[in-house]
Amino acid sequence: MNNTRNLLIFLFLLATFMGAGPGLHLINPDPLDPDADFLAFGLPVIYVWGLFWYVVQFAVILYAYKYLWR
Amino acid sequence: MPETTGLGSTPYIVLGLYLLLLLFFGIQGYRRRQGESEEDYYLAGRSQGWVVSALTIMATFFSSFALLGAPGMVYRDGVVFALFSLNVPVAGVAIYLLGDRIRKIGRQHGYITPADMISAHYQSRVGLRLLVAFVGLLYAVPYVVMQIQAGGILSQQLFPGTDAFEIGAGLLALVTMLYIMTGGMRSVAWTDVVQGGLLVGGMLLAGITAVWVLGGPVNFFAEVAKLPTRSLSAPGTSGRWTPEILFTASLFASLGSMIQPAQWMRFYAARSSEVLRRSALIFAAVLTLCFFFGVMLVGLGGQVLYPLTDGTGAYLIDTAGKILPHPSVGQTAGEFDQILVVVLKNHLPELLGSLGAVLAALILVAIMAAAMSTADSNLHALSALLTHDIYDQFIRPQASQREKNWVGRLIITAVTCLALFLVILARRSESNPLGMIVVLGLLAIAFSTQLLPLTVDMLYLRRGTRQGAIAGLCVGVTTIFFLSPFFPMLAGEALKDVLGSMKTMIDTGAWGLCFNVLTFAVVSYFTREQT
Repeated sequence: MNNTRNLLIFLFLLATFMGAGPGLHLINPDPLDPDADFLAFGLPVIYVWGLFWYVVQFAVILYAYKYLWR
Repeated sequence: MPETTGLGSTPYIVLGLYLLLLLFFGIQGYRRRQGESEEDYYLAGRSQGWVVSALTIMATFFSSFALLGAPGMVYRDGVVFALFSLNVPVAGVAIYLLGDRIRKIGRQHGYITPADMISAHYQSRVGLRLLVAFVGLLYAVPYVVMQIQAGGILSQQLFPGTDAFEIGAGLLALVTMLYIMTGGMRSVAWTDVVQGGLLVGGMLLAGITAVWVLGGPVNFFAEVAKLPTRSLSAPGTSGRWTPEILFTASLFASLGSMIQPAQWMRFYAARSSEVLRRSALIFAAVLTLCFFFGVMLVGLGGQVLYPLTDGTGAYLIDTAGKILPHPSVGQTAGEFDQILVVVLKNHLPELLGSLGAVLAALILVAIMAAAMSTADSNLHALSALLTHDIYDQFIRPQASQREKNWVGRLIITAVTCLALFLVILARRSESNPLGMIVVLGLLAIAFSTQLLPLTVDMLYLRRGTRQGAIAGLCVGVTTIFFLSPFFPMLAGEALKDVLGSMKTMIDTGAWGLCFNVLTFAVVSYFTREQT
């Protein structure tokens, strides 16, 4: 139980760190580079990135809701 | 009946009905009260179910910050601020992990305010109780000011004319004050249910409107793709939102919002663990989506409809070098917050005729609901802090319950008048010191975030001491003050370079928290033996 809980805490913090934190540096396009990719699937790339990590955050909460928060 | 801008008389009718409904809830709350006890007036008898709890926690969390401030910040800085939405699931987790333990201990010992629990745990009847009440005040007053300011912004946009801002701000303050004073927590929670539903609907409807105005999702994002590159990347147009500042603001602002006095009292008021468990899930699911697919899209649509650049691609800036909104939105650097209202009133009636006017009026009432639901919770909590933690403890411990409730009502009146006075004063000053809603909101949250080390220690670690708690809290609050816009007003250029570079590294609240935790840990280590 403790290992699962610690893994979930790590995953949740990682998702926040990646989606709305320094993890952004991995995909943030340079505004001064005209050849940079600002879009992914027709949407702003950092918007898609944020949405993906929100899904991870929510999956962690859903798992905790069903199996841990009793 | 005076004519309104582009929306006919619809906003008057919708707004009038809405305000009457709120006053009805105030009277109902008074009639359903069970005696004059503090537990009934401040915590609705600790009997709130999950629907009321989820909606009142949501409505208290989402204020004009969400409906005016967030789209305003996206309008100014672009997509990067949409990622601030990831703070909402963090707050959702806090509802259960912190809130449920607070609820249990509160019920066990009959606590009413945060200071009750904290001062009992650290055995500090005077020092810590006063400090915690003071931090609550530092959070609640700016937050109430923000909401009243939103009423003014809304009124100014909807009912142009002399003193429209002042009349709107005054009306919002008066109605909010009346229904809290009448029905206490029960009325506040019931009105929050209506307002919570309204603001969720309003946020999503606003996003759909923005997409619709630009011709549907495909066209919307095709237009967004043509925005200046600074709007599509971090740190955004103004350069404020570096990933580090975004991360610390998302992480700590959400936690600070969840341990502010009004939310703390909502945890006390919840009936069971199950109530908070469900509230956490609903909160993380519904509100994040309202942010991502609702109000944030309004800010992006705003950048397309009302560009921040002129024909040559140069940004519009004021004499101080700050970026300005499009002239149709506002004239100063603090007026980005008006974008949602401008998009609605200029485009919805044009698209849908009289149905558009009704929809626009409903979304505008949702903005009013967001502002009032946060103002009422904070005024109500503030009255508990000052009555229960100060008047009852130090001024007149022998006062009857009826007397204490009336003192609480007087405090609500006084604080509302003070907040209204500050809003009007700032409005009439040369450079409005209240600035943008998000900036003021994050400053208020930075103060309440300083309660986080105490809360985590009290609920989980139990290793801190009274001296450590007091020292940490004092250092944290002082740090925030040094980094706030108020310090340069008093100290001029002193420490300007150091403080300026600190502000560009991480969020203000996170700096306060760093010094707070460090002091708390060190002082607790050296005073543990004595305790």
